[in-house]
Amino acid sequence: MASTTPAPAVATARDAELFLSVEDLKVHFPTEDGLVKSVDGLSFELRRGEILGIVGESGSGKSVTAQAILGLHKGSRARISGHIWLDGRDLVPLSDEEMRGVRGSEIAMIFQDPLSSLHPFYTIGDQIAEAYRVHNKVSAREARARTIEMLEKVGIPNAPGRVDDYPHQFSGGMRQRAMIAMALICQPKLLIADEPTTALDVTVQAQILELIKDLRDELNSAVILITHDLGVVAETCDHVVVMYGGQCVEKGSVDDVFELPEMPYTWGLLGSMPRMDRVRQERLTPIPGQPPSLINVPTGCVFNTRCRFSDHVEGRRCFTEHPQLLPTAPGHEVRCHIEPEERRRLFELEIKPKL
Amino acid sequence: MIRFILVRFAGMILVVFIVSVLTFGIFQLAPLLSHTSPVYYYTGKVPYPPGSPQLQALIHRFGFDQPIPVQYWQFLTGIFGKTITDGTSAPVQCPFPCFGYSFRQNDLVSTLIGNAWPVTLSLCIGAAILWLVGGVLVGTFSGLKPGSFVDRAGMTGALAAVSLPIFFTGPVLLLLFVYTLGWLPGTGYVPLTTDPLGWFESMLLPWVSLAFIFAALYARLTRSNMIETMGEDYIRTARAKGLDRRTIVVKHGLRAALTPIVTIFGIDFGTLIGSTVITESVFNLRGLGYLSIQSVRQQDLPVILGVTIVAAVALVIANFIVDVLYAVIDPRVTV
Amino acid sequence: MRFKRRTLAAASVALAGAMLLAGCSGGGSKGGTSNGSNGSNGGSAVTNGFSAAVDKAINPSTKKGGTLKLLSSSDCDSWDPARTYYGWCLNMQRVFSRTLINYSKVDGTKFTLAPDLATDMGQHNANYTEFTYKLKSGLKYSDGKPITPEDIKYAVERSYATDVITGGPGFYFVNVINAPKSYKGPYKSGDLPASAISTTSDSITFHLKQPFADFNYLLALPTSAPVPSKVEGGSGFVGATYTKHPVSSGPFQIQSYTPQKSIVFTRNKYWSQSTDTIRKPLVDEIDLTVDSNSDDIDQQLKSGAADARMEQGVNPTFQSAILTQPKYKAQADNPAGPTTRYYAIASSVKPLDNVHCRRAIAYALNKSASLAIAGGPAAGQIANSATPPGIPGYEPSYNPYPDGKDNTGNIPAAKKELQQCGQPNGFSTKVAYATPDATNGKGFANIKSALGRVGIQVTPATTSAENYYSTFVGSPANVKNQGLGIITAGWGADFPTLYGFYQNIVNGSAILPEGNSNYASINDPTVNKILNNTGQPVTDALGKQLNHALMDTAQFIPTRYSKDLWYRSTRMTNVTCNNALGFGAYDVVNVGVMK
Repeated sequence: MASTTPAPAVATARDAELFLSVEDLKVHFPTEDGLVKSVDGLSFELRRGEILGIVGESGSGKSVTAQAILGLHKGSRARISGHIWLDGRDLVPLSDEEMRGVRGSEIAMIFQDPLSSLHPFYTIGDQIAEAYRVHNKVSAREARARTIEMLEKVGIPNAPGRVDDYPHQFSGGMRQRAMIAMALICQPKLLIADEPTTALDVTVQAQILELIKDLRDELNSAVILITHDLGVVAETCDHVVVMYGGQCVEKGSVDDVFELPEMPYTWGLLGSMPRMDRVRQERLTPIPGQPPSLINVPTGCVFNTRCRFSDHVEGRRCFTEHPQLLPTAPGHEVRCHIEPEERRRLFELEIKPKL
Repeated sequence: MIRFILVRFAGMILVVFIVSVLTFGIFQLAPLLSHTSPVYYYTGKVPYPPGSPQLQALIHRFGFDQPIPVQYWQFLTGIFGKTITDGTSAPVQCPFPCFGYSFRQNDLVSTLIGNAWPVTLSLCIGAAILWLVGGVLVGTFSGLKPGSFVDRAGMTGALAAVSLPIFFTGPVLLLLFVYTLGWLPGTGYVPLTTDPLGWFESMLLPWVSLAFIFAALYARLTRSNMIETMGEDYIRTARAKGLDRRTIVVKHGLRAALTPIVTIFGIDFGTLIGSTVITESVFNLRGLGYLSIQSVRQQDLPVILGVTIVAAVALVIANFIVDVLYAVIDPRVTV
Repeated sequence: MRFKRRTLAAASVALAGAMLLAGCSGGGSKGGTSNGSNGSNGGSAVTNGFSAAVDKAINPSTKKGGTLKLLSSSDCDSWDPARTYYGWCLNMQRVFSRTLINYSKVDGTKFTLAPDLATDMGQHNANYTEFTYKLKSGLKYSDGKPITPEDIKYAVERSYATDVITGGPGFYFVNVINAPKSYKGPYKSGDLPASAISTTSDSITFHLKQPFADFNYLLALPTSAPVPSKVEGGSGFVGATYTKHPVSSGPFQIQSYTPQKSIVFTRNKYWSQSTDTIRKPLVDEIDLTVDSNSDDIDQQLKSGAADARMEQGVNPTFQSAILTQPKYKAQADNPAGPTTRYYAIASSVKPLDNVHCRRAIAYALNKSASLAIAGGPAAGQIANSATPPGIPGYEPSYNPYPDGKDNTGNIPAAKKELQQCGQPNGFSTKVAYATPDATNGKGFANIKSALGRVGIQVTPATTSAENYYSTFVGSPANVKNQGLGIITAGWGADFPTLYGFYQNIVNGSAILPEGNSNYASINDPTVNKILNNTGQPVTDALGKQLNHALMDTAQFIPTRYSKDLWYRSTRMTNVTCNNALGFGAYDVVNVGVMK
């Protein structure tokens, strides 16, 4: 897996208008302990045919973002603000019932653990067909034919024979393929894949990612790929958003971010990523420390408690002033007080050699 | 599936057999331990000295002069039918299933049980429907919005209902609807076959008071299962598909939440068949519970034995049905 | 008499299986009771009032017709006159079973016998071994067939078939009739020879193997009510199943009977008033419905939906309503009878083999508290000696172990007895009682604290009510082995004579190894002699002699003569208590209804 491998360029994608635009999205959960700011001021945009990677550790707000786009927080106590423009329509003010028509048909989602995400008491076929029939007025027979077609498309061998199996009768990879079939059966314009390969072994992982890319090509959908695995991002995505503590700390094209990452947190992520294209020089270096509390977000930079480079900033700005997400190059934004030149110098001198 | 059913069925027979041996054994052991002729258990006070011809005649009539294994063997083979005679009254044909003859009530045990079971079954089925519907409804609504007003009201009610024994709710309902308001007739069973409306009226209060306590338990159970289920990933998947809330709650949520309840329900129902004593006493119903308590009071061993076996069979059958049903409901259960 | 009901205030310490005899209040000269109408002012025009029906029929009326509605929480042990032994069922037998001799007065405390099927009280020889009765003419069963002396003989014969005719007090006949030892009843041994019972076309003679002066009392039990010889109740209703279809000889016949549910009596058109001086039936129908909800029964009484309950007095809830609200109280009766609650003191348990230790218990008891626990004055009156009112020799002034003015105990006397017993600091023993205990352990707590005052330490020894009398305290070996020193008990007579009350519970020559009712194995020569000498009518003097001898043993320590509270509807006319057979339940055969 090479970080430098560019994602296949799709000509149509570049020309398309902005398809999804998230502006200043905030998802806050009131709890007895205080307000949990799971997502705090996130913005990004996506065109059709593009794959956007959202990376970050557990609890960085990736999945909450995905579920917010899908409107799964509607009806709960979560407070959501900002805008989620999908094809020119803001999803945030929609009611749960209005959102229901969007889910599955315009936006579909693939979840991390396909076994627990599939209902154990219904057959694979039933569950996929259900997704189709809720948005399309078709007979059970048509839905079944379409289901089998989709299962074949996602590479289930002997799909007509397996359509009536129960989830527990499928292998992990097959279940995820079935989940993908379920997500894609209504040809959604936006596909959100939340850690789609985490529970799978490496070979299956590659197949699944390949499948997502193929389907993206075929349907010209936009894809959000949520993962904590930078390798996956490098392999698959066009753009990447690095999240930390509910905020975007760096975003840009995959090429930019992987070639010249400027945020120390991104450096940390890269450092903890196994590389196959180079001889490993030393042990992987996990980022020391714990992710921040989302209730008492530290003043200043969210990453300040774990950042090794705060002494490269004059004074104690890292601890007093919240850095803005600022462009450092066209299409490349970074949230860091360290001067851009200094960041690049540090990367070249201190980080890159160790990767 | 066939094999599964056959194996379970064989197990069922074995359990019933063991129950019959145990019950029979206890009734053999009790007189032995208390150094009392078992005749006392049939007739109460018998003022005949041991060894007297009068006592011998009684012992012979009840068959206590036979060796214990022979007595048991006769009991066992007798189940498939035999002729009972005391040499005086007309011989009684005791067809299958024959549990012997009650010398206290001068009737076949199977006749006594046969008269009693429609009452108990009416009671249990009606109550079960009430408590399932009531309990699951309350539990579902409570479980969907934990902490809401509906939930608090439902669970407070459930707690109250669980704490109210039938010998309290029963008389209170009677006082209210029979004695004070006069909306319902007095106590006593009206057979369904003779008067369906009367049957319904006579069973309504027993159903309600018996269902009360169970409904409360089932509400709590459904609630906790519902809360757990609604937090499952596959519910999130269902929402992500764009399903409407009713489909999500009923088809995806309830289906999973109710599955464990099926097991508990089967066992509760099976157990209930032999344990409706209080309800039957309060509402003057002549069901199996009343029959059993009456037999215990009168030390009517054949009837106690018969009712015990019938209750055991009911429980075992209920268990069996639950096992099969569970295999049908939950495809993960391998059969 | 088998005792089938709860005593007042649910308080009987010895619940279930206890044996009690009914009796009426009259003997209440001891005072203590709040019972207003003990003394009979004899006025027949008395309408209502508390305990008005205890010793006389009230609401006199000759109005005929109507249905009497009765309730019970359980069915009779049997409707076969030879197999029933529950007091209230003996009372119900009066409705449809006639006997040679029967009670003509069942209320009050002095019960009177009168000829029923017989023309007179019978002829007996000098030593009471031969009794001859002549039947009235024109006696018929409810099927129109004539009642013959053979049928009465057959009825007695049935009692010998102990394997089939179980449950009733037939053993009284078996014990006295001069039958061959090998005789096993009519089903196996055919007819009794004439040397035992001989008959003519209109008379019957009983030949006894021992003198028995009380024989008329035996005949007054329904046990010998005529049963159609050989055919009994018809095909399928012979022997054990006769209970399902007994043939009527009385003014009512069984119209329908569903075991454990209901029995309906309608008039027997073949019964003729001219042959019956004891019964004056008025109603057309008597319904007895079994309602397992005992409180529901009281509700129905209260609302007037039913006329009376038969099997026991009212429950505690209704009882307190009755005692506090005049409108209910006027409808209630509280007859006291020849029923004694007592502690049997087992001399087989050391140190109770010493009479002084037993007397210490007699002195130290707190009978006053015991009565209060039982439910107060409505539950009975304090007993100072064994013989209860209604039994010859009843002597309220006799108090061999005076326990103080307020009946709370005589501590100095108890301590003195302990000194004499050689246990000056007291001793330890067990108190046996049946569970569930109607007093919820208060009865035990009372005796524990009372005896504790003189250093006698007691621990409880309990078993289920079902086994209590048959195997727990009914086995002298078990009493000795378990050390059951103090046995809670109660007893009522099968008929109001010394023999009828005492034979089973104190006669030392009738102790059984199992199912024994002489729980303390009392074996006093004077007592035995009086009871064994059945060849002379019992006098009051003999009764007193027995009472004194029994009290001297201190093995029979009475605590109270119990009473029940009964409730009658305002509809009932000619109503009075049946204390002779029914524990005070109303004598329903003569009752009419208004409206």
